[in-house]
Amino acid sequence: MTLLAASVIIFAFIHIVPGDPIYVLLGDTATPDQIDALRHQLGLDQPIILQYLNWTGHVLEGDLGRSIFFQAPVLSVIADGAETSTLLATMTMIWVAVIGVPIGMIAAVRHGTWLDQGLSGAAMLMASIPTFWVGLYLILIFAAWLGWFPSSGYPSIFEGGVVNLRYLVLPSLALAAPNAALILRLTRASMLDVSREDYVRTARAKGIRPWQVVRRHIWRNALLAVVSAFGFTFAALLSEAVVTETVFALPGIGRLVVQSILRRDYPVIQGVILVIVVVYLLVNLIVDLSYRLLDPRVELQ
Amino acid sequence: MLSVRDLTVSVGPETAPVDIVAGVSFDLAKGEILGLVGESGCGKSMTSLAVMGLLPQPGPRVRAGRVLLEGSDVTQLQPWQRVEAGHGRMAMIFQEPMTSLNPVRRIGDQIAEAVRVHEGISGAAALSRARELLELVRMPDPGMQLSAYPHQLSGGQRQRVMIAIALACRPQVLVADEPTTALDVTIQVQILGLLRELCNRLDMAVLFITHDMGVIAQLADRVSVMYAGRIVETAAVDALFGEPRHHYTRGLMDCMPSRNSGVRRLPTISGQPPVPGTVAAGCVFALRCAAVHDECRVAAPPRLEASQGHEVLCAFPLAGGELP
Repeated sequence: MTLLAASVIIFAFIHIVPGDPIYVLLGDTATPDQIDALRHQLGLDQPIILQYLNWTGHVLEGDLGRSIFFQAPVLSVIADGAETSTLLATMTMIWVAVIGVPIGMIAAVRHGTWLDQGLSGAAMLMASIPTFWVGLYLILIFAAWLGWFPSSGYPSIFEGGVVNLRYLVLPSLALAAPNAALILRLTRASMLDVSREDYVRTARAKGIRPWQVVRRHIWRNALLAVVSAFGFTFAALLSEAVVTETVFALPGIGRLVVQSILRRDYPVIQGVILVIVVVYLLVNLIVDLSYRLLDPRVELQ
Repeated sequence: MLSVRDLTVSVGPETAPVDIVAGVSFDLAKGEILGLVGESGCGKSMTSLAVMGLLPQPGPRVRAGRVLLEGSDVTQLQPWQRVEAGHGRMAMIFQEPMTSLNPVRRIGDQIAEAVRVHEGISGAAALSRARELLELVRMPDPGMQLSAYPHQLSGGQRQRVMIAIALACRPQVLVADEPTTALDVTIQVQILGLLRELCNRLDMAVLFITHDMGVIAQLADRVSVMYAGRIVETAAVDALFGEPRHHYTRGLMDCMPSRNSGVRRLPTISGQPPVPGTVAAGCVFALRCAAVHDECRVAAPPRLEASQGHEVLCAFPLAGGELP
């Protein structure tokens, strides 16, 4: 249902936007005959309803069509970008998890102290700085001055091996900065919320040491709110890392979408957006399933 | 067993504290149930939290006074610090059994946790002790309930679990903050009966907080009546209900439906309790007292002993034998 609605909206919006892929492909010098011929060849001369039904029919068969610009199957175009984006998003989420969650916990436990204020302030700062700026400074320091990591591009790990992951270290750090900051603040707020719960008072009344109260009664309950944010951050990173991908010249999904829109490469835009919708649905499902693990009150229907 | 002396709990800045509990004193003996009764906002819950060392932080603090457990000063210690200092044999049960248990942890686990802290046993031994405790609080099917989650239990069952957790501390003193307020009347009777029985059997001292005079009459040995952060009258239950000496206590009695059979409209005490910090001098009840004297508005009332064990905070207490 969601997919169907999404596909209609995608299709409608793309074709409402002015512009024509034919001119992008053929340039200003094309003759009207050439234009008509190509338009017919790509099926763009048919009524839009027919184009939509045509496209949906192929999608259901697992065929997302051919890219007008790349002259290649949309699926393989997306697959190329997906490798970079998935690895980048995963690496970013690892940073977010190891930086954001523990520091958020520390800030919550030390709530109200100078440490908490310092960490929360730093988080606010990190969340406010644009990623391209962080990215440029990371390149300047770690690539240009220190030479620890490459500054741009990403050769596939399937060709160069796992060492190629080093290409993703700086971009993932740049992406992690604002996201870790947000997760930090969320973790902190969530822990503080939970620590005001009645059952935490019960735990304290038992005579358990403070850090045991945190470990046994606050942490897991606070995690519930953080888990869903994690899912959506991951999904967003897959498709919305345009700026970072541009700064680091990475062949990711975000850049693919933007460039395809500029080229009016309808099949690619449609395909990518469809894939992103599917990813969001999957992430949603995984988040719901993980709730089942974390919270016994959630029953599987 | 438990002595509370001039306990004062304050909020607000150090330089201008507002006392929400002002100089509360009471004693609690082994096997005795002391009822602490008062209306919402009178400071009875704050008193119980302060006694337990469980005041929320940051928030209200104990500004003056002492809490003595068997003569040891535990006033500024939180429960875990009391356990470390060897004065950990106090426990508390709360008003809301629905929210007082951790929703994501099993019942057995939550009881065993308290067992581990107080008895130094762990693993299977702690769990079997948890099972014993569930039997002690008359939980139906205790073996099964160990692996249940709180949301699978009814309100009454959860309160039994709370009592089991409290008993895991082998408490000498049990503080019960309105433990039956959120329960059905039938369940309420069961829980009150259970508390009375456990109190006798385990020789515990119980501080029972409630706003329900009926519950007090049914359960308590002695009663302290609280008003605006102060204990205004303390007496044995019979003496208090038979011969209230404070005008406020008398007012509360007059409001009880059981004493007003056939009356269409229950009498009330006119006015509102004072906002904490607004009474500068004199008696806190002066604004609402029917028998107020000029002196009451300027001078703090004395604590008089009306009869043996019957104390009243009033310069002009009611004479004995006034109630029919």
